[in-house]
Amino acid sequence: MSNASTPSPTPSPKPKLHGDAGVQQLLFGDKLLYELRQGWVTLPNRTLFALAMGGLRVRLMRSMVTTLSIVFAIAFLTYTGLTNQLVFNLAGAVRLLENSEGVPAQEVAKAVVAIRQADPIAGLPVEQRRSLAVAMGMDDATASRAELAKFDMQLGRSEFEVKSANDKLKKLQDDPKTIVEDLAAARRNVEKAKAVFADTKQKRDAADARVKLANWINAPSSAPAADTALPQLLETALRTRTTQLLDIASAPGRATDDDLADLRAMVTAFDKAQPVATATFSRVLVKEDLKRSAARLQTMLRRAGVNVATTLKGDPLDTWLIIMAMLTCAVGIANAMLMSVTERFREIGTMKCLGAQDSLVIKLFLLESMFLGLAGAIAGIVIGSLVALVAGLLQYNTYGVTAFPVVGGIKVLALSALAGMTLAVVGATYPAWAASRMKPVDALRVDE
Amino acid sequence: MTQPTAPNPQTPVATLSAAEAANDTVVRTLGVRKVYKMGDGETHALRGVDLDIFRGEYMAIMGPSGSGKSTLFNMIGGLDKPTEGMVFIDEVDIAALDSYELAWLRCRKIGYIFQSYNLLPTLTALENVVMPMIFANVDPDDARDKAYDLLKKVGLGDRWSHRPGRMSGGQQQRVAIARALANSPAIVLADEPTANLDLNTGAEIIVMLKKLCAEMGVTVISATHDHKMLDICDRVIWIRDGRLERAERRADLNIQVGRIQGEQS
Repeated sequence: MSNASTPSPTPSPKPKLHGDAGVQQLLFGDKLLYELRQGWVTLPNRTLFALAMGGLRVRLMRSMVTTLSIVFAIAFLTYTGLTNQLVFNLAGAVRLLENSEGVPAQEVAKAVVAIRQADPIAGLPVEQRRSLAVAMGMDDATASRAELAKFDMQLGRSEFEVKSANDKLKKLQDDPKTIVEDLAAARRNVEKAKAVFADTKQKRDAADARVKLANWINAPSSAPAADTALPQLLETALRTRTTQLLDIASAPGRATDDDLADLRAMVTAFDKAQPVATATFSRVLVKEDLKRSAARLQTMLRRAGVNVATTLKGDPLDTWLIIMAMLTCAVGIANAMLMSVTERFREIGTMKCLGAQDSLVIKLFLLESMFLGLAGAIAGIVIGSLVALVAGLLQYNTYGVTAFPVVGGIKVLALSALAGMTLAVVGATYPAWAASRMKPVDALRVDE
Repeated sequence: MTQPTAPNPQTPVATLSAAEAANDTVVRTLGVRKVYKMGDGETHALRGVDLDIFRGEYMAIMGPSGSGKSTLFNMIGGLDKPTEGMVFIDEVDIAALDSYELAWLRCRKIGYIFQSYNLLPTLTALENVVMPMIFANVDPDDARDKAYDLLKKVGLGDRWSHRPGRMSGGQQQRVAIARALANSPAIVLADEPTANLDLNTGAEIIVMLKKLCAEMGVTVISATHDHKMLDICDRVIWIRDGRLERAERRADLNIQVGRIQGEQS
């Protein structure tokens, strides 16, 4: 006798179910299962499904608790796998960035010389000079204004000090008893105070000029028409900044982020006049950006407490934790399924009395367990992925998303799903076997 | 079987049914013994039972508890194998079958009706009736049609979608009858089918069982103490101490009903 379901050799036309309207849905008590049947489940499997699903539904609470252990194990597996992949990607990025060649110093020096000689500022029309100044942040007078106020105050104090030093000197000069050393000291004091005053005045004037320049850049029409000094001021300021930036481009490692932004503005402004030199600077900028990203990433990795080498090899602690979680999970499933078997002694006995083969009983319990495994694996994958994503975002900022593993991630997810199902099947193997070995007589005797 | 039946001294040679006259046995036991090992000692549940049950018969097995009645019952139902002797069901010796073949036999030749119905609580009435046919690899659509017909026959055509929890005991037992008849078995084994039911429902169930089995030519073997059941039996067999004590036809039984009842109480 073959166990395969053999379709009747002559497919006789089946009578439509006696015309009863209600009987049309007679096939399927349950909507979900009806859908399944429409798709791919045939009725013998459907009865099996109904049995397995029914078993789960009746023991919903316990099924859910069992599933929860699978969810945790799989979520942990998914999370660890994804995080490892992420660290792998990030570490790879760091290594790539660190190993990338910088722009040769010779080339940079040549570009610097080219810009110096060409003096592209001179060739820029006023409008473009203004926009370059804006790009370099010269239009922002807030800081300069504060400086101006500070220097004004210092200037007042300095003036007073010069005056008092002078008074003291005069008094000493008038006093016939003054000794030569004291007089010399007083003179030195006066000189010193005057020097401080001059310095402060210069600083104050520079700040004043910056404020004026900023005001003019923001609203050129507001300045007095006669004030021809302002365009001159702008040119000087730009030239000074350009000289500074050229030095920075030669050694970008120590530059602040503002410097780099200004350099970028300069490159844009000079692009037409000096395409070759600016191209070199662009490359310098790109390389510097990459280097900084690498440094930032490394800091993040260090702060996250990741040892890249061990992570890539597979952290033994993680591996052990996963193995333990899986084992616990399998034992939990086995326990739940054994309880399910014990509770269903009578059902199993009845089915065996009605002619169910041992293999069918095994199939039934494996199927039931596989439902658990599937549900748990799906939930675990979703939770694990979300946690990995959020943790990546928190630890590595946007790098956690941009470097999020896609191809490797899919592999991890597939592996997790497989692990969940395997776990469920392995856990249910013994209970299913035990159920299939039960003698129908014993099964029926239990409840009598 | 061509070999003539061993003469059974306990069977009175009274009115023979057609099947009996044609020697059409459906179950035959020959010198069946069953010994259970319990710790050190042995318990002899059956000490040699010879019995012929004929096709289409409606038969009751009676006996006090511990008499070996259940053992004999399980033996006929293909749930247990004899220690010694032979049990033929439709001319197949069950002692020679492995568990796979026994399941096959139970599936196609025997229908069971239990005292406590034993419907699967997670399946609907229809699915419960379909189930044994699925075990027998019947075409699913045919199985469903036949199950619905059977449910109609037992008067539950409108309740095919109910789960056992939503049905009364009588309704559940009727579903169980439909389930027992699903694979057109040769024998239906009914183990105290009316014990959990009230008098009226029990009577209905008995009449229904009798009618359906007569229609389908199925042999019914029941273990029962229900006198309504005994009343419509073709034959009653008494078991005591693992031996066949008495076998009586209904013709004889009817006269003696009072005496049986007296004996029971």
